[in-house]
Amino acid sequence: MFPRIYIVLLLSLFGTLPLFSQSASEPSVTAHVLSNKVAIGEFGTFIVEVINGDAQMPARIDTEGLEIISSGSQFTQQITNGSRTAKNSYYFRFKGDKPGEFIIPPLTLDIRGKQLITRSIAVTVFEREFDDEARDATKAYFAKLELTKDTFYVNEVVPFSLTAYARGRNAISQVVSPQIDNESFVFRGFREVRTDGGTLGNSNAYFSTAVVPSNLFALKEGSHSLGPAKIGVNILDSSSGFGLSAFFQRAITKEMTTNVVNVTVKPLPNGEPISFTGGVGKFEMTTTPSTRTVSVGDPISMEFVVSGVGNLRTMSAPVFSVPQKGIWKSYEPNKTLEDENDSDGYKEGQAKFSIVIIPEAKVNAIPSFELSYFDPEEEKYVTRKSEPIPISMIEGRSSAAPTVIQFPEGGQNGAGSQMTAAQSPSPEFNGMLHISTGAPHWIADSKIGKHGPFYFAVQAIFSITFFTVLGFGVMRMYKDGRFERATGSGPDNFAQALKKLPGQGATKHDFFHSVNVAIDLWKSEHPSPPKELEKVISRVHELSDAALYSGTLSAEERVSPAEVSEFRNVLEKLPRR
Amino acid sequence: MRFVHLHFLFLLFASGLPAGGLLAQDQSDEQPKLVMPVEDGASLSADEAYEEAIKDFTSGSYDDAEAKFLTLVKRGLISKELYFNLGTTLEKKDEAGRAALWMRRALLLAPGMVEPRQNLVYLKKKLGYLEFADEGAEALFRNLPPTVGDWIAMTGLWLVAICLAMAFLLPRYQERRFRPLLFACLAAILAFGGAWFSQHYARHYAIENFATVTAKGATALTSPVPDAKAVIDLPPGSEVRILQETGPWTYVEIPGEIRGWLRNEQLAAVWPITFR
Repeated sequence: MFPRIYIVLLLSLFGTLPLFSQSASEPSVTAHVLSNKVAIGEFGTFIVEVINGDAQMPARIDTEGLEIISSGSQFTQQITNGSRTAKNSYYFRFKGDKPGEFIIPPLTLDIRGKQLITRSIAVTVFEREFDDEARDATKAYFAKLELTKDTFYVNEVVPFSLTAYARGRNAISQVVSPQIDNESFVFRGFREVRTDGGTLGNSNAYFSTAVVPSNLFALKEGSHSLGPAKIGVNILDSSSGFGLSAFFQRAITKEMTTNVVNVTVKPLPNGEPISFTGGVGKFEMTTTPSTRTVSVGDPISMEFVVSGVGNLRTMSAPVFSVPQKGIWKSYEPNKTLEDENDSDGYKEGQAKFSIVIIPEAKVNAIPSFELSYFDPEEEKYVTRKSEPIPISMIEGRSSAAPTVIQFPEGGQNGAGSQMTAAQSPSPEFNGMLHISTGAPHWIADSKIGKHGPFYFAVQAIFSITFFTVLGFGVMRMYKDGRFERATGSGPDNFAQALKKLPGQGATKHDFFHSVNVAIDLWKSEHPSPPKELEKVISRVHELSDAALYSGTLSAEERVSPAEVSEFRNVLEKLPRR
Repeated sequence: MRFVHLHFLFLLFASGLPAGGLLAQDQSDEQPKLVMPVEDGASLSADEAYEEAIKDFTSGSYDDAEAKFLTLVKRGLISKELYFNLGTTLEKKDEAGRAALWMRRALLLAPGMVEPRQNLVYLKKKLGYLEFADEGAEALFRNLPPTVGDWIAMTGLWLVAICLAMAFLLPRYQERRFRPLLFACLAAILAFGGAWFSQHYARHYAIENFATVTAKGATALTSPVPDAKAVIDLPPGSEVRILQETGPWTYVEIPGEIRGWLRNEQLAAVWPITFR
């Protein structure tokens, strides 16, 4: 008898045989999209399914108008009535940046040696409407670009916002790198983020939102497409955290693209006033002079404060209502517009202008200034005008020759601040001084370029110093006995030394010094004398040294006749060459 | 014994040299005897002639005043008042370029004199003449006394001599000659620098190099020919530095690092005074 377990194993083995036979059946391929309508900037899904086979899929499918990128694959198998079916699903993400009909092309796949071709699929890329929230609610996250108006004027400030949506409460932790570009517009930088949340449309799904407000103005008239803008947000991943999402959730960065907004930019109407300097909005102007008491040629710094809602960045300084050539001279204005004081299209902004003006003639008032701007709500140009400001002229300078103050003609910022210092009186130099009628001081020599007595006095001091040092030095040499040798007047040989030997009456110092000199010269002339002679010479030298260096010798002590005779006799008996 | 008083001879010799120089200097400062011939044959002293010129000026006889002032100048008389008055007289005669020249000469004699300096400001305002900048290193060198280079050189040379004598003759320094020799080297550098500066000053900044444009309508030319192209118009009174004299033409440096040729008669050296 077989054990029961073997019977079960045998039945299982036979039961699987048909499966093996089925899996070897013919392969097939299909392709489809989850939805063939996709909004601009959003992603659609394209799926290729291979039955009973495997295929090598491209990482990217090139086609016009669509970006199709592989996003992964999945393998499944199914057994139905003992028949097994294996299926490989390949997923692609696709998106389009402009509206229209596009075709996902057929793919030719090599499956188990057979060439199979997928069908082509038509996809519609469309532009999503503003209130199309119910459809967006089907997504986990998306972004929107919204403008407060889609028709506006050149240079008109238009607020807009980029909004990122992410499903779930407090799902957005941070907004990174919002970006929008269009060369026909000037965008203000993104400076703040507002976070909020709520349900969208009729869906019950709660979305967290991050709104990045800003504003723009157009440089060119015509129809323009704004966007898609990009915005990246850090989203909390609800699938992470091991069930303890409050502690272990992680943030992932999602880059989103927004919709496109079509706008119409209208040109400013013709007939602008002369004082129109580019401002569009609604503004007020105040005027303040730096002083009301001047003389001809003195500078006045005019300060203008322009405040209101609109474009302050394209606005230039006010100008004289009436040309003031020859009466007032004005210099290049200086404009100050801080970022925090700029208007964003909702709140008021403030710009300051300063202009240095100089009266070139006697006047009694600073004339009125004008500033014109275009009001987009009223759709007309508006002019603000300052009242003439009375001033007092003082006689500080001749009006015929006004003071020339060196201003930068081309204009420099801050020129006004340099000109507020009070002027000190200065001479006119309008004529020569009268001749000198006093007695002249005649001089015989101009001494121009010649040395004066002081020069010679200093030379005298130097020469005295030099010759004093020289004199003392020479005297010292003489005393040391070096003078004669140095000057060449000393004895050259023993015979001369013997002849110059001092006689009776000389000091002992001179006598014995001369004896030593004579002995040294004899030694130099007789390098190898007989031994007996050498003893005699040494003895005489010792006696002479003893007399010189015994310490008992006084400066004035005279040599005795006996000493002279004794030493001279010895020296004269020495052989000579 | 024969050489005991040798150093006194040296001292005597040394003190005799500068004393002789000083003596000669004193003699040269002696007041000269000044006389001036006049038309009627009588002789006037310099002071009297000067008084006559002032009277002419006061009475409006500017030509006579100029002639008398110039006669004093040509006789070799030197006086800041004389130069100043001559300049003022020439301005009255509408010879502003020559007026500026004599104002500058007065300032040479008395750099602290206010009147010629003030008149030069007026003349510059009136004529708009060109002048070398009175600031920066160039102006500093120009304002240095002309003999400063000689002073430095001579001081350096004396110090070299004294230090060498000390090093080799004084027994105190025979065992430690390094210090006096080092000092002698430094003094030699000083002497060399002074000599170089003296030469440089003489070539560039000495007053003998400067001239004033005296002619009206003078124009510096690109080459020493009458139909050469113009470099710049030089209003009378403009300062120039003489670079080279060639026949009737003078090559000059003009304020603003410009160079050009002028006719000799269009300019006059500030110093020494010469008459063409």
